[in-house]
Amino acid sequence: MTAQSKRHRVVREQKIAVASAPYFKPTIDGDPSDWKDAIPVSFSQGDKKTTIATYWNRRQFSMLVSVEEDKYVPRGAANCFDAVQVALAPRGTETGHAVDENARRFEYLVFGKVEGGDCCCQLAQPGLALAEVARPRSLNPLMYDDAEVAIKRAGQTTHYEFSLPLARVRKHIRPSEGREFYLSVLVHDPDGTGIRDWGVAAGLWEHQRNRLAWSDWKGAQWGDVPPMDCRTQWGMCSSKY
Amino acid sequence: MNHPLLTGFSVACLFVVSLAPGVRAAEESRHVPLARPDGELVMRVVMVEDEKGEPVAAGEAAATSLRKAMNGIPLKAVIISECFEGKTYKEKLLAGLSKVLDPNLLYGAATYGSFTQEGCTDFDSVCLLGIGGDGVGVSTALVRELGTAKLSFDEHEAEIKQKLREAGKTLGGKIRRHARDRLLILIPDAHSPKNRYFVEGVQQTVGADFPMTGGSANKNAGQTFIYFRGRMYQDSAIALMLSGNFQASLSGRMAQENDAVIRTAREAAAEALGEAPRRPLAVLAYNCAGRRGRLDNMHDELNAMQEVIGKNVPLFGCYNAGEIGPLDPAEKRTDALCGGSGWHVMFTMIWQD
Repeated sequence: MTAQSKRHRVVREQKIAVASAPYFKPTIDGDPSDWKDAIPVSFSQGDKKTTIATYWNRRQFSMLVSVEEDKYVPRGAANCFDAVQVALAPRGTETGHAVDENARRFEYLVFGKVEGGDCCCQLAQPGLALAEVARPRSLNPLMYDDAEVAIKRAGQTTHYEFSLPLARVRKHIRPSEGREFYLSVLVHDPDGTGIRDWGVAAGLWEHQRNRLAWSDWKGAQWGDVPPMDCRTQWGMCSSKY
Repeated sequence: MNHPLLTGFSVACLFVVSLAPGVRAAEESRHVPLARPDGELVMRVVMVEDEKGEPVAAGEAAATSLRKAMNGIPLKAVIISECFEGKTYKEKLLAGLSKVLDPNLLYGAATYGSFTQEGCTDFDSVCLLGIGGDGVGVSTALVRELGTAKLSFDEHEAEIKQKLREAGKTLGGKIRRHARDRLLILIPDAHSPKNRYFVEGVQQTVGADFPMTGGSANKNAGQTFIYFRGRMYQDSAIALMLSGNFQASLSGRMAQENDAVIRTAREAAAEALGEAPRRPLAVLAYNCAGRRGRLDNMHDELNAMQEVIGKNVPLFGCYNAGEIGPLDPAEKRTDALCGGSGWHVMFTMIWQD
């Protein structure tokens, strides 16, 4: 977009991402070949690319987060480890700015373990006090075995593939074609780029940074500034065909 | 070697090979004539939700219920709107329907759900529109291998337009026409905006001003099927031409937000009803699944419709991946009565002269 007067010319560029999840039930095995019918979004931090692809079906919300990184560090291999943190929230809800408020989102952390096994923890659900969210909690009590997770390394890319059951979510976000909701993603790459924030790439404003938008947890390494709010727009659709 | 048996066999093979296209053509169309121009047109609607995971039983129950609702009036076509998950369940549903009804009567598609005067459904449900009586004729046709099911607009726009216009024209040409043709129902595997070009093709043979309605099949992965004479097809489209002594008034409106979805449903229903000189004998509503996805409460749109049409007239409604009918004023074509688009609800009110 260009605005021009007699003496001045101002050019602004805005990139728009189509963030939509088609209907599909992928096999969670770390193999990205199931994802050719998704509608992915990508962003780069430095020279490292992250791609987020999503699907939905009646029972699950599935994601493939592909993280380009020099090295994949599972939990237990070092003090800080690689992980993907995801938040889903109903459209029209807000995060809250005070610890005496409650969360209005579902939030998950996906990571691997050095001894083997890929895990998901449920960090938040609607009604959880934001005071709890802000506290660096231990992950073991938060394990969410109902999720399916597969993390595989292919070349310089770590593929986090996971499915989250919608049984608890559907009361808040009813899965349906045309359904709009909020989804956001943080990638934890402490030995590489640090936090990769989809909210930055999606164009949220600086004043939308909110420390209470993302749960703290033991082993997390945060940047100097809070991440962006966990509410970027997403939708469920039928198909890209 | 000129052995008589071999010669006879060769001749038989040649006969079969030459007959095959004719056989296929016969399978891809059907004509049930109008028996009496002043006869009765009867339309009835039933809907069944399957809560037990038993699609065969659901199909049988729906078909039995429809037959009962027809009260002895012979059926000439049954339009299916179903939302069972996966090919196996859909096959079982058809098998259940075919236990009670002649499969040659069965047409329709997988949709995203249905709605009638009884309410709205999504998963694991079947809705049937029975069309019968000696005052209606039904000509049906199928076109296969559209070649566009897995093409996306981003990458294949020109190819999609060319193939769908051609397919639509072919389908329109297969319909046996009658002087009393009144309404064309189209059900394609053509997710909006593809349906626009398919309709343009049909209009090349049927005419730009012919009243038409319909909806595109569910486009969710693994769910896209078209039904023609009781069989399942993919990447296909069907047409049902209704003829008889009846009239149809049509309207369409588009919306993408909760309040507008409700308001436009009311407006479109009122517009179509306003053109009907007497109480309609049935209402068809081809609706967009995306509109339903924008509603805070799925039933609010149906309630708005019922404020206008009441709760007694048979209502056959289904949620689709594209709709066919008169376009919203914002998109209205000047060169044709109807078009194909998305985010619409398309009403057709039918009444007899």
